Parts: sequence; structure tokens; C-alpha cells
Amino acid sequence: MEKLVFLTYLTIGIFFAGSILAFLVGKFTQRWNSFWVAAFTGLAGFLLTCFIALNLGEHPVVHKFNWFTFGSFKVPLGIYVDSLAVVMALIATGIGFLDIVFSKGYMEDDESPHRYYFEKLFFIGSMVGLVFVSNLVGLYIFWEGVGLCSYLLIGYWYWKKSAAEAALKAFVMTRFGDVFMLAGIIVAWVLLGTINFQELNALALAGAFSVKLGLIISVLIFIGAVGKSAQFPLFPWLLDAMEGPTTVSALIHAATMVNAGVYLVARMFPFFDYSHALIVVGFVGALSAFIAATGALAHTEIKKILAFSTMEHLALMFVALGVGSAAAGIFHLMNHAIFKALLFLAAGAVIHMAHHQKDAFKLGGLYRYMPQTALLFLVGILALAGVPPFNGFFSKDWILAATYAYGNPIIFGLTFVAAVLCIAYGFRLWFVVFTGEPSEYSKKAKEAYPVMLVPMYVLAVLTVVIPFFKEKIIHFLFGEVHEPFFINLLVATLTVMFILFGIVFLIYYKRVISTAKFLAHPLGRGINDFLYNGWYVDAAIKWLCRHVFYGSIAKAIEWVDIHVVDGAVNGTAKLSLACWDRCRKMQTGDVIDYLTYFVAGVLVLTLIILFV
Amino acid sequence: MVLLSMILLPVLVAPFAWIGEKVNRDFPKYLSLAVGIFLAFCTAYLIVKYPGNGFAFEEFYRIYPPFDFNLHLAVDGISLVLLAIVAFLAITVTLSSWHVERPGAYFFLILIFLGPMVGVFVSLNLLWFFIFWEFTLVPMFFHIGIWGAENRIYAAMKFFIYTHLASIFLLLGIIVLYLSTHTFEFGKILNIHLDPSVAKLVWILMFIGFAVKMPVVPFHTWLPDAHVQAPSPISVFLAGLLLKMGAYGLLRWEIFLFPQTSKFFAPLMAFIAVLTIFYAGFRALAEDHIKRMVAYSSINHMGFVLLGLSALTAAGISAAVYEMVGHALVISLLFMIAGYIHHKTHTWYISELGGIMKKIPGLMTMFVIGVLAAVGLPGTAGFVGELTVMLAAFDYYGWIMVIVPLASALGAGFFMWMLQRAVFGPLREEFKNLATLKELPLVENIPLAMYIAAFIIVGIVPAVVFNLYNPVINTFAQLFQ
Repeated sequence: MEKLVFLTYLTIGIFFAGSILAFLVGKFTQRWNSFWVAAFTGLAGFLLTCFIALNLGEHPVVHKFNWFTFGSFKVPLGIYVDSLAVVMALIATGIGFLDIVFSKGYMEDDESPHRYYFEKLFFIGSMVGLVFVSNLVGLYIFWEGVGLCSYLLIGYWYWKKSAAEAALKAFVMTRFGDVFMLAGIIVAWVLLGTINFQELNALALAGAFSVKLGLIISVLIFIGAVGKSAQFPLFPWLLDAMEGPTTVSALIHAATMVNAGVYLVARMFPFFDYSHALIVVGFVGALSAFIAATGALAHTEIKKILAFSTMEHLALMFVALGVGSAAAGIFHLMNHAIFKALLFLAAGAVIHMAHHQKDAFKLGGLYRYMPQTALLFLVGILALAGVPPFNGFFSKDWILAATYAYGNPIIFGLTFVAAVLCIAYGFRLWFVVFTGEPSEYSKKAKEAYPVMLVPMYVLAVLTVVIPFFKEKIIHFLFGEVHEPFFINLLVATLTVMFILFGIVFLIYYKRVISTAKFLAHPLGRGINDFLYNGWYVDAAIKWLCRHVFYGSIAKAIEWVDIHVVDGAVNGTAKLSLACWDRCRKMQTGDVIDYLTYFVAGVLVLTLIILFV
Repeated sequence: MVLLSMILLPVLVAPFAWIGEKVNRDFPKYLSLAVGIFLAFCTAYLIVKYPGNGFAFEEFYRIYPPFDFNLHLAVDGISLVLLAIVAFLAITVTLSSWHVERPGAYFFLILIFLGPMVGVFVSLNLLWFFIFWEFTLVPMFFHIGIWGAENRIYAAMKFFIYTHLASIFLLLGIIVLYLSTHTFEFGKILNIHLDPSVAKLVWILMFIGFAVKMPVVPFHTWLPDAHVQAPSPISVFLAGLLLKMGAYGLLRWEIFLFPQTSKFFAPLMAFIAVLTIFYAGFRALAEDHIKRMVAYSSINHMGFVLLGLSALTAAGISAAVYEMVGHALVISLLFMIAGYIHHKTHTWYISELGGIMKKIPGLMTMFVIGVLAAVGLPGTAGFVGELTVMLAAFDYYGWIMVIVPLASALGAGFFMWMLQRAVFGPLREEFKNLATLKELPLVENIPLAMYIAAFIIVGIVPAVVFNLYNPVINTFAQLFQ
């Protein structure tokens, strides 16, 4: 036990130490030496996590210490490593390591790999910390840490205006969610007296506080999760986050950081359950899934389609949690991390080899030039679409069954539509990029380097292997779980998916149906734009920031500050100057004037003395 | 003798800085650095020897006993923290001023500023506290008026008259207090039970004096003007030390002395604090002048300090003192770099900047770190300060304080937006061949690195600060029950 505690701290620490070392080594020796530091650190961290996972017994690894004391408050920190935490850490370190390796090829033209690997390792360290900590304050610390790395890596090419703006949007939008979460943490701390996850859950199971209070705390904390996991209405940052290097999108904005919100809800599941907050989670999830899936169908950039898809799958996990099936949600989290990382890496390979052309419709026919990447991409699409026997099928089908069993028609309807649409936008993307006539960009492309292919192969193999271990994984995570199963639902899902595949096949592969007519029509154009822009949520938030917060409130306060508050200060100065001026004018030098003042003064004084 | 020498030595050696300039131009800065190191050593000695609770190292010098006009010096945990800031900033400001013009007069003024500054934090005699308080104004006035920017005379005058006028209220309060207690001694006033109405009058009069110095809305407008015109190292003194005098005075001479009256006025303080936090936050959002924006963010942070103080619990007061430390370190860094940006690009305005990260990555990386600390990123002092203040405020006032965390989003908004426009993005054409746009010399980088190291250490191990004064504050907090 002692040993595992030490190893857990070591796992967190090794990434932070590695990040600084990678920076220094890259700065003071050959720049690319930082890659070797990063790769070694990543591998060491992954192996340590594996070791912890293998040695994790019935009881979680727990350790706790007092960070500091002020007044009557003691601020605790500590670790709590159970199967859920360790699986999350395996995803973070495993995909993190593959991503580090892949980056060697993808970032080959980069000028400052030491900065890149510093930020990357710092991110993995924060992510591992986030899943290992035992209380809300610790979580918040690392939560902001991953947010910082996300900000820095989205803005990695900071000299591009779009990258700087995307980074700003990501930081501010997630921060906006985070402050609600901070408020929730403070409320829980003061009114419930604890911030430890296990103690909070225990209080909920014992019914030690009112449901209303629980609901307020849960919703406040959930707003933080909404921001981090890019759900409605705080999702537009995720689309813009695609400005960063694709390897960053793969690791941070698909496989790990964006899962943090889902993890948090899963971690506090009994608390949310007791507080009746799960229904909120379910509705937000279902709505977000619908917005995202339809958005992915309308978008044209490879990475943004994948970003919409990420948002959709995160939403599906929230739906799973919302309908009370944490196991389905977490299983999908794991599967999604694998196939979405694969898809992003493959997309990265395509973009890198096709000279940074991100618009899918300006590519085409790439199968001929990079067949291995194309097939790996196809594996990702199949898993994403939920085609058996790939891993996505098992978890997505489970989520649909759980939602169906839950019985809320709105949640089920939206979720079902979103889930089956995966195959439509997935194959639309694949057909457009890899089949048809090659464009000028495609013709210049060649197959990805082995250093990029190997990580993709590993992930592709995992998408097929994971289903064989489904029972074991679920048992490891949650013990005995009942999985609902409806044969008619399964048949219906697969049928609809098949029909959708047929339609997409006809439009984008055979090209016998054209969407041009639909898009030419004003209504069709309008619908397309509405979906493409994610229901104009981004525009609404922008309007709110620009015209309400900045244009109205801030500008009004500026006016008050200059003219009223400081105006009064300067007014006093002017007033005293004016008085001085008047008094000066009384000094005329005329004896008659002075005599008048004298008599008037005497008169006034006499009157005062007489009447007071 | 340690405390007295900390006050007197800087003042006594000050003339040598002036004279020494004639002999060797470098002499004044080395003298100032030596005095800074001397103060640091003394503070370290005091911290090591400090018994942990209550006042220690008492020194008593009879001056004119009939009026109770005696120099009574002592330190407790809170004073020690502030002395540490004085010593730290004395060193960093000297290093930052390494290439200043007319060094003789400049360092002369710095040295005669440091003595009274120490005096403010260690005096237990109210009259002497006031004398030291007023003495700090004079060197600051000349610093702004002589070494300031274009509009320096206006700013220096406004600064001097405004804060001096506030001091008159403070003096009035002190006189009323003396007339009813016949003593200036902290220990004696503490044990005298004042008539509640007199106590309220004294409290309000003194509060005006302290509130202007902190400053809080609506008494804040002298500060942005003074900061904008002051040379950057002097901005550091202004934000790091002068503002702390206001908060320290409020804590030592009002909250500790009149616990019941403070309790009566606590909602007023809390209201002003929350108003300050949001007002300054929105005001900064509308600001295009980079140093003015930092100044408003400084006011925003002082709002947090006042909010902590207004929660009259051990937690609130400890949090406020911590926030003072964090503010001193973080805002100093930001003021310095804002000054350098102007120096290198010849513009103050965010809308005229853009992409300078590409040209001066080292300096701008430090700027980004400072901004992140100011928006309260965990791992820096900014986070611990905000978290503890918010907790204490919610603990004392309840649900109404659930809005305070939202202000943190505001801070992220204006600061990160500024970074995006001024630091990141494409480099503007006119900066591409600008010869002045280059990295700083080493000696000026040292203080910046010192600020960063300090606020990260204090942010990761907050106990180094809290443990110094936790027992003291816990003892005083019993007065409020």
C-alpha cells in the first residue's frame, strides 16, 4: 500500500519533472533531444500507471495530507486511486505516449520542439493528477492546469491571429464554467463541511443534506463540467480549438482533457443521483449530442467535423450518466478516447502530408497516395459509427439501450438521432477525403512516416481488441453491472444506420444524388448554415461579450469613472480655484468697499448674537 | 535595537547616496542594494527568532511622555510578513532601477522612503504610525513628479493632495480617539472600552483615511493616474507597499482595536469590497491603456483584500493578509513589464500593440506567467489568495457571496483578451525593424525572475506565509466572539 502511494505521487511528479527537463535539454542542447526526454518520460509514466493498475487490489490507494491551514479551515490534498481513476490515467498516459511518438513526425518542421514537449508533458502530468486526486480543490488545481496547457497548445502558433483568438476563446469560455464550479466547491465546503469525493458521496447516500442544496451544488459543479467537456452552450471553443496542432487536438481535445467533465460527474455520481441533478445532465447531453451530430453533417473541415463528433460523443457519455448508467458512460469514454485519437492522428497525417489543407472538399482521392492512412482512418470511422465488431458499437449500443430503458422520449429521441448520424457524417468525411478525383493537394501527398503509422496501428488494433475484454473491464471498474438489452432496438438502429450509409454512399461515393440543389435553395442554405455554425451559439456568446459585457456594462462604468467619480474629484479642485478667484476679486483696494464689508459683517454678527 | 536600526539606517545613509553620486555614479545604487540586503537580513533574523505568537522585539523610546508621544516598536506575525515584502521590494526595485537617470537623488528618495515604510509596520504608537505614514508621501511625490512620464506634475499633485486630504480624516480620527482615551498606545487603547458612538465616529474618520490609500471605489481615481505617470519601479512601491499601508492600518488600528464597531460596519466594508471587485473588473475590461488596466486590476485585488478583512473571522483576516502578499508580488511584476512594453514599443495602447511575443519571447513569457497568476491560476499566489478570501466571505456572509467567484471570470476576460491583442497574433509592421524592441539586460531580468519565483513558491507552499501569523490572528479573532 505504502509503495503504491509513493508510486502514484511519482507518476504525477515524473511528468512535471520531465516537462522541465525536456525544456532545458531542448533549450541548451540539440532542440530535438527534448523528444527523447519526452518519449522516455511518457513511457515511464505509462509503465508506472500499468504497474499501479496491476497491483490495485480490492481497496483503493488513499493518502491524505494537510496542504495549509488558515483560520478554522484546513485545506486538505491527497490521492484516491481506484479502478476508475487508474483507467482514466491509463488512457491519459497511454494515448499521451503514442501522441508524443506521433508528434516526432507531425511536428518535424517545428522550430521549438522543447516548448511543445514541455507543454505536452505538463498537460499529461496535470491530467494524471486530475484523475488521482481525492478532493474537489485538488481536482480544481489540476483542472485549471489542463486548461492552461490547452490554452497554450491551442495558441501554439501564437503568431497566427486565428490561433491567438481560438486560445483566448478556449480559456475564457472554460474559465466561465470553472468559476461556477469554484462557487459550487465553496458552497459544498462551507455548508457540507467536506470536499472529499468519498465523503460527499457518503453524505449523499446517508441523505445528510437537503436535495435542494445538493441540486444547487451539483448544478454549479456541472456548469464547470459543461465548459470543460464542451457541451451546450459552452461548446464553441472546442471547434476553434482545432487551430492548434492536430496532435494536440488528438490528445487534449478528443481523448483526455475534454473527458474530465464526464469523469467528474462519474466520480460524484451518487451525489448527483441523490440531488436529482442527473436529469439536468441527461438533457444537456441529449441536446448537445443532437446539435453536434447535425453540425458534423454540415461542416466541411476535417478537423471541425471531428470536433463536432467529439462533442457528440461526450454528450452521449453525459446522456449515459444522466440516465443512470455510469458503466456505459465510462466504457464509452474509453472507447471514444481510442478511436477518436486514431481518427485525429490519421487526420493529422492527412493534413501534414497534404500541405496543411484542412478543407475536406479540397482534398479527395487520397486513398491512392496514402492507402495505409486511409485504411486506418476507415477503422476509426467504423468504430465511431458503431459498426460491429469495433469497440464503438458495444458502448454506443449500450448507451442507447440504457436511454431506451430510462423512458424519457425527448432524451431518447435526440440521442438516437445523434447516435445513428455518426455513420452518415463519418462516411461522408471518408468518401470525400479518400475517394473521387484527387485534387492538386492530394497529388502532392505521400504515405505517412512509420513513426506516425505505428501509433495509429496500435490504436487501430485496440479498437478491435477492446470488445473481447469488455466483461473484464466493466467488472474491474464497476463490479457486477446489469446491461439492458433490446433486440428490436438493436435491429432498428442497425437498419437506420444501413439506410443512412446507403444514402451517403450514393451522394458522396457514387455521386448520383447531388446536394447542390438543396444548398441552392434559400431554406436549404439556411438550415445548412444554422447547423454548420452550431445553432449560432458562438455568435450569440460573441454578441453578449461584445455588446453587453464590453459595449454596455464596461463602457458605462468607464464613463461613470471618468465623468462622475473622477469628475467629482477634479470638480473639487475647480471649485476651490473658483472660490479663490472670487475672493481675490474682493481685494479691490478701494476704502469704500472695505468699509461696506466691515459694516455688513458687523450687522450679520449682531443679528446672530441677537437671535441665537 | 533591530527595529530602530531598520527605520533609521536607511534614512541616515540616504544623504550619502546623494553626495556619493559626485564621486562615483554607481555608488548610490550599490548603497541602496546594500540597505535592501540589510533589511532582508534583519527581517530574516526576526522571522527566525520570532516566538510564534504575540508581539515580540519590543523597543520603547521615551520622547514626550505627557502626551504619550513615545516611540514604541514591536512586531507580530502580520508585521513580519509586511516587513518581508518591504525588504524584498527594496532589493527588486533597486535592481530594476539600475540604469536610472540622476541616481543620486533617486536613490536618496528611495532610502528615505524605506525607513518610514518600516516604521508604519512596526509602530505600536498611533501618533508615530501617523507620522511615518505621512513621511512616505514625500519621496513618492518627488519620484512621480521628477522621474514620471509626460503628465507627471498633474499626477503627482493629485496623488499628494488626494491622499493627504484623506490623511487629515485619519488625523481627525486619531485626535478624537486621543481626546477620549488619552493615549496613543495600541495595547492601552485595546483595553479601554469606548463609548459606542465615539467609537463609530473614530472608525468612520479613520476608515476614510485607509480606504483612500487602499484604494477602494469610489476613492480610487488617484491611483491609475499616479501609476500611469510614475516610473515602473516606483509603481512597484506604490502598489506593493503604499497600498498595503491602507490595508494594514485598517487591520491593525481599526479591526483589532474596535472589534465591535468593526462588526457593526462589516456589511458596509463587504459592500464596498464587492463593489470594488466588480467595478474595477469591468473598468479594466474597457481600458485600452495597458498600465491603467494593470492599475485597475490592482484595485480589483485590493477589493479582495478588503472583502477578506470584512469577514471578521480568523479565516477572513488570514486570507486578506495572504492576498496582500500575493498582490504585492504579482502586480509588481505586471507593472514592471507594462513599463518595459512602453519603453520598447513607445506605445501604451493595447490597440497599437500586437504580436510582440515574436520579438521578445523571454520578457513576454514572464508577462504571460504574471497575467496567469493575476487571474488566479492554481500553483500561484493568486489562486490561494482568491480561494481563501472567497471561502471566508461565503462562510461569514452566506449565499450572497456566491457571486464573488464570477469576478474571477471577469479577470480572465480582460487580461487574456489583452494578451491576445497585445502579445500574441501577427507582429505589427512597425515593430518588425524597431531597434528598441529587444530583450532586457540580465540585471533587469533578475527582479522579474524573483517575483515569479516568489509567487510560485508562496502559491505552492502557502503554509510558509500562513504559519507566520495564524496564531496571532487566531488570538485576535477571539475578540469578535
